[in-house]
Amino acid sequence: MHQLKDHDIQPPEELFGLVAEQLKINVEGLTSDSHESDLREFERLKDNSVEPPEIVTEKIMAAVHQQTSTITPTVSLLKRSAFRIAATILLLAAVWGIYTLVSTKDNKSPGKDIVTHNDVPIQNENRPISKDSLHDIVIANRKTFRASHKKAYSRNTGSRTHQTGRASAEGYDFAIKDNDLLGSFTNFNYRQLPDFLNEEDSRSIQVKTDHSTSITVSEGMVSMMKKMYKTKRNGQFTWKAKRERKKLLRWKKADANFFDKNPAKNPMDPFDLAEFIF
Amino acid sequence: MQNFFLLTILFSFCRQGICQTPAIDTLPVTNISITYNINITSKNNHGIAETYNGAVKTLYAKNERVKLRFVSLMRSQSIYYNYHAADTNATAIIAKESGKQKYKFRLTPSAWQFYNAKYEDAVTTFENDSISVIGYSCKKAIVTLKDQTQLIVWFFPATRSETLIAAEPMFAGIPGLPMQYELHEGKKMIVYTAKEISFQEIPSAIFQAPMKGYVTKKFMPGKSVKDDIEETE
Repeated sequence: MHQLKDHDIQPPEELFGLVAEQLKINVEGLTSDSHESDLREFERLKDNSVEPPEIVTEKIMAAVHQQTSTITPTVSLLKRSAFRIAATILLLAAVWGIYTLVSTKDNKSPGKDIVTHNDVPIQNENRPISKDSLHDIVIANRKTFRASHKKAYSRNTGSRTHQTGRASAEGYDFAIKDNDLLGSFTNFNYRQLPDFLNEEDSRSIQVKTDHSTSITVSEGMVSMMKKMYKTKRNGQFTWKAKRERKKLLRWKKADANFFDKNPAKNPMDPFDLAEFIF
Repeated sequence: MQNFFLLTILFSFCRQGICQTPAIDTLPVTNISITYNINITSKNNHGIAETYNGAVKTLYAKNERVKLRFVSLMRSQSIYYNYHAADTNATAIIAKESGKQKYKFRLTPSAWQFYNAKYEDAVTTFENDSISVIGYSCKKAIVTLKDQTQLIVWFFPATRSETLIAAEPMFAGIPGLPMQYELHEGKKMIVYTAKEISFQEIPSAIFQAPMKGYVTKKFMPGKSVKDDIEETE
């Protein structure tokens, strides 16, 4: 069957002439007068129009009106939706604004009342005492103590940069700020005190600093530090702890008064040191 | 019997510390470092003295430079001394290296002399006594100041450099290396005891005085900080 498609038979030649005559096709020329007159007749027909029946017109118009009436409800629906969306957004924005205000108030926590290293203002050089880190030993009240324990008792927060080193004592590693060992010892996290401050008996301990220097904290000093971290059941420092911290602050001031204000006094000189401590 | 006799002689020599004492009579000028422990005995162990008790003083000496470093609970402080300083305004630099407000003083030769004025008239006497400090057989000397306060010094006989003598005028009359020195006030005392001595190479950076973060103050002999004119670098 596939091969038959290419098969064709030529018609007889005399038949071709008969068909041409029937179709009035001029073999020698395509145009003829009769052909042109027929074209003119057809051209006149194009101006001829016939009115459609009225019922058809009505039906068409009705159909058009129906479409437009369906379109109108969709537009109003979109408008109402847009209003609803806008209202929802406004409401959410209002809620967020209120929440932000409320949370900002809460963040002004009482913990900020604890003067950290970063909060101590720059003061007159003639009063170096108030700048020493031990000034940060605040006799914490209930509010401030609890606030300070909500987050880790951070000693190195804030934008101001401080020289921070590391030291270790009896396997307990801690940060030293401003090379101030005493200040660092008095600002441990209450919940993460080193073992030597929790032991019943006081003993001297070795402290190794960054500079490969190892000093000794005496038994008496360890005993004092333990007292400084005593708290009551409610987490507040005991009055003894507060008293010890106040005493330490006085010592710091006395040291600054003697050595900082009198540059000729040398703390590594035995005579000057004896004059101060005895 | 002979072996026993030899052992006895050997033992007696060791008792005298000859076996233990390093064989030096002149201290090297290139690298010396000595670390002293500071022990304080006060009338009670709950006073301010405890903040200095257990402190450490370290001496570093290299050629014409000496650094004295003091580290305690209460404070850290250093003295950078240069025997032949090119800048005469910095014969010595005293730097307080702890606390929020660190500062330093630059001392001229005359200011350095004033700083150590109490030792100018000090008298050094010697006694026939000896102890051993970290294996060094030490002799006894007593430094007496003008106000009659005294410092007992146990020293290892050796020749010290001029730099070392100038850096610690307190030991100017001591013919050797101080290994232990004590100040007594009745039952109270401060004792500096050498715990480590080294002749290893000391990095030059040790002798560099701090620059950044330190307020430079003007040392005015006889005047307190209030009267000083503050300088900034």
